Amino acid sequence: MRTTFLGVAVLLATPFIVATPSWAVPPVKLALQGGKIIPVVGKVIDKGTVLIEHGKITAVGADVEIPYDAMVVDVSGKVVMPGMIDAHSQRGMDVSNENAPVTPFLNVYDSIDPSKLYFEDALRDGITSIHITHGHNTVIGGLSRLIHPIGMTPEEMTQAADVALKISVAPKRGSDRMVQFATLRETFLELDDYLEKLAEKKYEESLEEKDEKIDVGPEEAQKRGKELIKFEDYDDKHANLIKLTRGELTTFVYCDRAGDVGRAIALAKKHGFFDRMVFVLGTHCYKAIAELKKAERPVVLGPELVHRERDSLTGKLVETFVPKVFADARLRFSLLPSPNTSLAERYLNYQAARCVRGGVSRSRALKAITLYPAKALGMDKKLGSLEAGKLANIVVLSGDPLDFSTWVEQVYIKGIKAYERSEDVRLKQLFGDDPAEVSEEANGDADKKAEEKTNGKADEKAGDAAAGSDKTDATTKDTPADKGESDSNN
Amino acid sequence: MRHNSYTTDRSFRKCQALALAVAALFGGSVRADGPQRSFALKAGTVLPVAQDGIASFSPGMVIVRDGKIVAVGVDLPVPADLEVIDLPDAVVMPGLVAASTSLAPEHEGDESIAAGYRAVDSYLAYADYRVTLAGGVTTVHLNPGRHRLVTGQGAVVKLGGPLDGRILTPNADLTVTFDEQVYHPPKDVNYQMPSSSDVAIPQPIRQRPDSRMGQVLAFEEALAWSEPQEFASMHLVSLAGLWQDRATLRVQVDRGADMTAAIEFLKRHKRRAYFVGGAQADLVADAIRAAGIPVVFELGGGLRNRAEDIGFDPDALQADVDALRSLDGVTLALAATTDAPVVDLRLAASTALRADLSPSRVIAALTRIPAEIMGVSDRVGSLEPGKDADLLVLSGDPLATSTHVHRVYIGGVTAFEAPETNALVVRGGTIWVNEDEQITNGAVLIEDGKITAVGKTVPHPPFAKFIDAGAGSFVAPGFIDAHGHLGLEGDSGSTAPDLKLSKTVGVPGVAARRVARAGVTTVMLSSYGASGSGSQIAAIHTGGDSREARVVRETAGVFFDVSKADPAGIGNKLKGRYEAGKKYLEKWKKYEKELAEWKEKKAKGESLNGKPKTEEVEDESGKGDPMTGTWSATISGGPLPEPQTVTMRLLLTGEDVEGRLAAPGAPQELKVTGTFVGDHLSLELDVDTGGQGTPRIEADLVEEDKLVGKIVVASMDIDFEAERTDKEAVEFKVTKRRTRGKDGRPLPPKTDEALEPIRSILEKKIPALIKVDAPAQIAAVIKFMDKWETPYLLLDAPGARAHAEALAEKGVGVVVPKDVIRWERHESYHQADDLSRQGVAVAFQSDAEDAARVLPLVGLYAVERGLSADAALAALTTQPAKMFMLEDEIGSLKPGCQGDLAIFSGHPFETGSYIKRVIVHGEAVR
Repeated sequence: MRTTFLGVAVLLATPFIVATPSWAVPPVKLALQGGKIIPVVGKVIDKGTVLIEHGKITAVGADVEIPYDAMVVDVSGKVVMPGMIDAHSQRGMDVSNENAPVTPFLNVYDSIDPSKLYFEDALRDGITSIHITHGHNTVIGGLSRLIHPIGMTPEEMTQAADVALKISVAPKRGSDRMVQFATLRETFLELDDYLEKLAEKKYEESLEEKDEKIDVGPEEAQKRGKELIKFEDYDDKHANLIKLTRGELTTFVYCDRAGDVGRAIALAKKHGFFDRMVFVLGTHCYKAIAELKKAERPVVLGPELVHRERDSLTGKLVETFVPKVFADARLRFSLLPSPNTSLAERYLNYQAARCVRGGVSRSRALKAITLYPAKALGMDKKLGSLEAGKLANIVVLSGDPLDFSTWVEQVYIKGIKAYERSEDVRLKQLFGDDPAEVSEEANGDADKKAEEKTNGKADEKAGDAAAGSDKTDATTKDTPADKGESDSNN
Repeated sequence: MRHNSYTTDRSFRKCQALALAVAALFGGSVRADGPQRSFALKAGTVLPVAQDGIASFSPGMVIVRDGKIVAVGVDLPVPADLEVIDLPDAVVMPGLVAASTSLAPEHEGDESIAAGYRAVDSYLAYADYRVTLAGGVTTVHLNPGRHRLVTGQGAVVKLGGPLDGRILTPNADLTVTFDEQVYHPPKDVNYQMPSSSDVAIPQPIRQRPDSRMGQVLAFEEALAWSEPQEFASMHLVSLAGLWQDRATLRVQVDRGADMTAAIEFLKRHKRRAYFVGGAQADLVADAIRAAGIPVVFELGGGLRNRAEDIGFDPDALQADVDALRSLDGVTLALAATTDAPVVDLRLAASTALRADLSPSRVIAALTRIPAEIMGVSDRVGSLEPGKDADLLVLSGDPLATSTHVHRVYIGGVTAFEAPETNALVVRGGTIWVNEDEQITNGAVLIEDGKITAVGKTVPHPPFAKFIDAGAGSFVAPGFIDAHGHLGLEGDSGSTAPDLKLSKTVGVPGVAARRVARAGVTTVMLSSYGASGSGSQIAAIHTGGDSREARVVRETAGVFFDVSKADPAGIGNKLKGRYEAGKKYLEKWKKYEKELAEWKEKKAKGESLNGKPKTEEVEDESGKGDPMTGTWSATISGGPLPEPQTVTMRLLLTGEDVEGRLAAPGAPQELKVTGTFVGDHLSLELDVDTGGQGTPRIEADLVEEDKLVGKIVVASMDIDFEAERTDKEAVEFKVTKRRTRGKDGRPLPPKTDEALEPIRSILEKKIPALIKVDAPAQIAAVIKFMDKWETPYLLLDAPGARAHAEALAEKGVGVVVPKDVIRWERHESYHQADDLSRQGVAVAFQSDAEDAARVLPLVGLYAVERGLSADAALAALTTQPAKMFMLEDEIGSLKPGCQGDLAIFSGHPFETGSYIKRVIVHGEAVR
């Protein structure tokens, strides 16, 4: 991460900038009419209207009265759902990790590059909110930021600044668990030492102002000086840690193996950030489900959803579909897209569909890509569902979100149309002039021709392959080899 | 509950364990956390390894409640609410405590004084440790490493059991290493972040030690810096704290010089410590003893891995027995080297016996002593009330090479269960293989129900079950009842020639188990009487959990009874069956010949006769059965406006029914086929209904010659009632049979279950068992059999003495009658003894069901009457096996035979000896 301390200083001086860029003037009133609405919270409305005023949703329902001056968009035949949320992204930055292990003074703001193709892709995939944060390769990382993938500058993109701090209890690269935890302990020990010295200094300073001489021992001085400290007195290195220990900062804690979970909980409880902790978990962690259930904190599951392990005695490969374990424990979890854009896992709705196939209820799977990440980020009052009062971050789809052939047709962010498939230049390059016209009919004709040529053999094969992969996936037996294939196809 | 008031009172703390034990004994307690956390374990031997010096309880018991041991001893009363786990062959001991392991990877820290690193941070509670548990190690020391002067803090953890009790102590010690590998540590780089023009990046600091002298100096220096001015290092803060709290010092040290330095250091600071390593302990043994320093001795590796070449290096370290020998009087724990897997600890420690350590000291050095040294003996290390129920279930002596861990309990929870094997090793004082071969102090290996090895020593597959019957024991093949009726439950009839008695065999019941427990493992099962055409004999096991295990041979002989017949007519009586069998056999021989020719031709690629062939077969069976004949049936109801009459002609063959049905108005007769089972007739009509399904007749034989039922057509039911008007078999019984298949392959003839056994006799595969009652009958049988030259035996044959010479010459065995004592001219003789002395093979029989349990006594009595002990044993084992041509299956302990064993405390026919164990098909009979 490129860090200029000037930048940090400016940022800290104005910690809560909420930018209102010039382009962001939404149509005053907008009605998405006639579509099938999946509000995520509440029942599905087969033919309904979402009314948006001043960038916020004001009404959702089958019989919404549309004001005369509203701009009406006909979305009949389409599906309307809340914009999907990526709860933990290490992308969109120039580098996602810093070499130094303890960097709570850093901010991803300095690293966000709005020109990254990633943001465009996110829109195309229906993701309207991205929580950009430090990677796992750290001990204590910097502050994160929730952005939407439109805007020319990080300020324009910001939905919420300084959302969370990142901590990893799994060893940083080139390190191990003993060093990782020693570093964590050392950080907090040093913080205590810093606070003691700062208090002493503040007390001395207050005496100097009164031209008095120090009259007590260091311990008493520390005690008296403690009350004199203001937040501005903390230096960059410690300010965020102090917020953390006061429980003022959400913390995303990464655990790689189940054994890490207990230690993470103990650390969080000891240093006062347990109540605002969010777990980011590797697949092995499902084994600590009892501890996680007891902790009852939000969980973010990594893009890999299947845990594979060989039985140490028999050598038999045992596979576990991790989201099912969490769903059975009735824990709220968020799903993540894969950073590998050549895999189907890059689509959040595909991840949700896999969950349904793996035995998770449809409503929980949909919430895992909308409402639950919003809750984990503390943004569920504004994001995550189609309800009156929430921000109009909306995705219009060509079909059911869990259908693999569904396209994202339109994306609205705060009521502004941010994406329209018929105007997607890159899709045009990929599919020809008018991707919107790639209709059933045209496909049908092409298929027929192909059929005549090959006597349907190719089709059969394709069908078989699809059925085959369906089968393997349903029983959570999708092996890496399968992925390799789909990789090359893409 | 009353005892609670005691346990909460501090002054009664010593009574706590006792009170708990009392509470447990009277069952007056407590909640059960899990299904397995409370139980009573009975074992052949229990090694408590407690301080009170009791070496073992045999047999012993351990009572566990809520994961804690509440009582250990002999014959403790079992609380009514506890499950009893009975492991009569097992040795139970405390879980092993590995005081030195490399389960925690060495930390990556650069600091030479790295007291802040805690090994417990690298403990992965949810990892699968079963591979290590398989070696019996339940508690381990996690070591932060041995690559720095002060490496960090060690921890003691368990490798399984309830999650909340796994970490015994997170900071067990301060680990210090005095050795060459800590010299020249890397430079300590302490970046200041964020650095700026004000905050400079400091130079990397060179660290001590660089030499043997330097290591003690560097440690002293670090200790002196107890109050650093600036916050320099968490490690120094940690070191100061640990030093102040007088944490246990764990000194990892191998060389004599380093040990001397360490002893001096400890004396100077008046600190307690223990040594780990000790390869050169023999050089400073006196000083160690004088200082009272416990030693965790690390044994050399080489069990699993290739050893390193040492070459000419005179200073190379080599942990060996010399060093161990010198440590007499030192508190000693044993550990595997850090590069050897912990799973091999038990075996590695067993080799310490070579240093003249007593077995009890070695066992303590793996359990109680390391627990005491590491300060966790309040919970693990021995089997005493109040401690955690960390138990090993071993197949035998813990220090024997071929012993394996079969199960591990941690905190009362099963943490490891050996993979299921079908191998069983039985060791005994005498292994009676057969009358010609006995092995003193030998063993038998049984795998998958069959004996695979027998000898002085046998292979000992890992996790094989193990029964050590003791030095005086006598292991014999399981006994054979040569003529019994086990399971027939008083049904004194005879069975039809085609009926296989083995079909009646299921899971062994009380009666079968009673017989099995007496040592009789096989019964030659036949009906009480024999049918005129002979009845089949089945060889069955008295134990076994599946039909497959129970049936030794489906048809092991044919039972004929000529005891009531006129001797002159015996030849004719048997001849009919033998002739029919011969005809049948020839058909098969012809087929086999044709098949061989066909195969040969096909192999050569010659053109084959492609036309299917048929031949006319006359079926003579079926006369006088309840189905065959002409039936007049009335059908009514359903779609029929009025009742109609149809005629049906049927032929019954076995359970198969075939026939013709003349339906009213139909142009031709319909073919019907089906089955007749019990009293139920089920027929299918061969008629095209245009996809409406095949019409069926379902009827019951309600009385003789009367059928009542239904015709089912599509969804309609038609009532069906029929009477037999004629019992004569009908013409259509002459059917065309195909004898060749499409490609000219000859098709086998139809199997006749009634003649199959005769065919086997004629092929000399099984014998005929002929019951005779008089010498004249014996003569007639011998005469008949001389012509046929097929195997046979005599049953009962009270007068066999008269023909003993002929029988001995022809090798015909006699299954002697139950009443073994005969009288001739007022002189009594024992028939078995008499015949066997004349060279006739004899076998004993029960001629009863579970009365077969007394067969061992029959043998004992025969010995009393003069039969040699080996001959009596042979009459119960090898002889009946040979007579029934089953010598490759049962009757001896040769490899390949069934794993049927009877284990006695001494020779089975000595009055004092009793039966200890019976094994049937490799499974112990309970």
